[in-house]
Amino acid sequence: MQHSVKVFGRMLFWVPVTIFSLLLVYNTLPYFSFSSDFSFIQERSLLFQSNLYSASFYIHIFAGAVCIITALIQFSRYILKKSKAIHRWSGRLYVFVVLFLGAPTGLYMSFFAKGSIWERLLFMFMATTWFITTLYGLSTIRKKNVLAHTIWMMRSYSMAMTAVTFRIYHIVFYLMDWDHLENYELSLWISVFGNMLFAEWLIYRKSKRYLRSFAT
Amino acid sequence: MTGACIYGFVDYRKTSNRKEFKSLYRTETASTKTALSPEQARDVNAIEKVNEKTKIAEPATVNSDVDKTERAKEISPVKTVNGTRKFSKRKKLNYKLYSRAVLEKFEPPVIVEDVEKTEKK
Repeated sequence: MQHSVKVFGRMLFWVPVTIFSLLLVYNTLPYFSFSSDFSFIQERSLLFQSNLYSASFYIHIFAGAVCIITALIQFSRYILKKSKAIHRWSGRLYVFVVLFLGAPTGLYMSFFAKGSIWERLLFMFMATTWFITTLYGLSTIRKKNVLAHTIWMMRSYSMAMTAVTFRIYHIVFYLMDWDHLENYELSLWISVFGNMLFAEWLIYRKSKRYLRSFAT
Repeated sequence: MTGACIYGFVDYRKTSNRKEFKSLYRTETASTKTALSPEQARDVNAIEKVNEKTKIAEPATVNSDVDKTERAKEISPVKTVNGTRKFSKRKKLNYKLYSRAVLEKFEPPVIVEDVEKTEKK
């Protein structure tokens, strides 16, 4: 009974996460036509005149899509049990893409982000946190510290998932008739800190269970 | 990361001085408040006059293709906010909304062409 409740709880979390992640990737694909006929690009037409910004944008969305897909594989207990090689190789891909593509391009673009200086700083914080947590995730597994690796990768994934949660809040506030800029800013803050808090809560639960295992 | 930070800062310093950059994300909010042309404003005033006469309480959509006799019934009070018309649109959920871009594009208001004729009637 307790096991089936656990499985149901996991399904309740992973099914929407998978659907929204795949939808995000699906919506990203049209951008690779390199057409400027997207409101996101049109809004930033001045920035897209710069080759560096343009390149950063396309690298960033490519990296984001790869990260989201590989992260789905990484947290699968089934794949981890069946084949550690898949976990290792997709993990390597995730780490490479975050450290060399996603986080640096995100940091570069954060200087030009929509909103006030605070939103720009928040984007910088996101990119830096994403980079550091992934780096720690890599260094801990190299030291064979699996628990610390899991914890740091959960933090890294929570940062990657801000792209997904941001869009959900964005739609909810849009349906609530919020002004676009207010909606954008609030969705951004809630998605970043909401994800961080949620990850910390999961880590706290995990560590509590871990400590309890020593007591028994 | 250091390189991205340096390049970002340098490019930001260069771009932030430009006039277009200062109004980069404000353009779409400004465009939604587009002023109506004199002809459109005249039509709006005409509709409001008809509304006052007919005193129909419920708002209804106004289409140019509708039969003239039906149109007179359909013309309704138009909500005005500081001289600009506010159209309440029904929002539909769509997978394309799942984006970081602006979710709503401005669509110019549809205005009746023969309002004056209906006014005479």
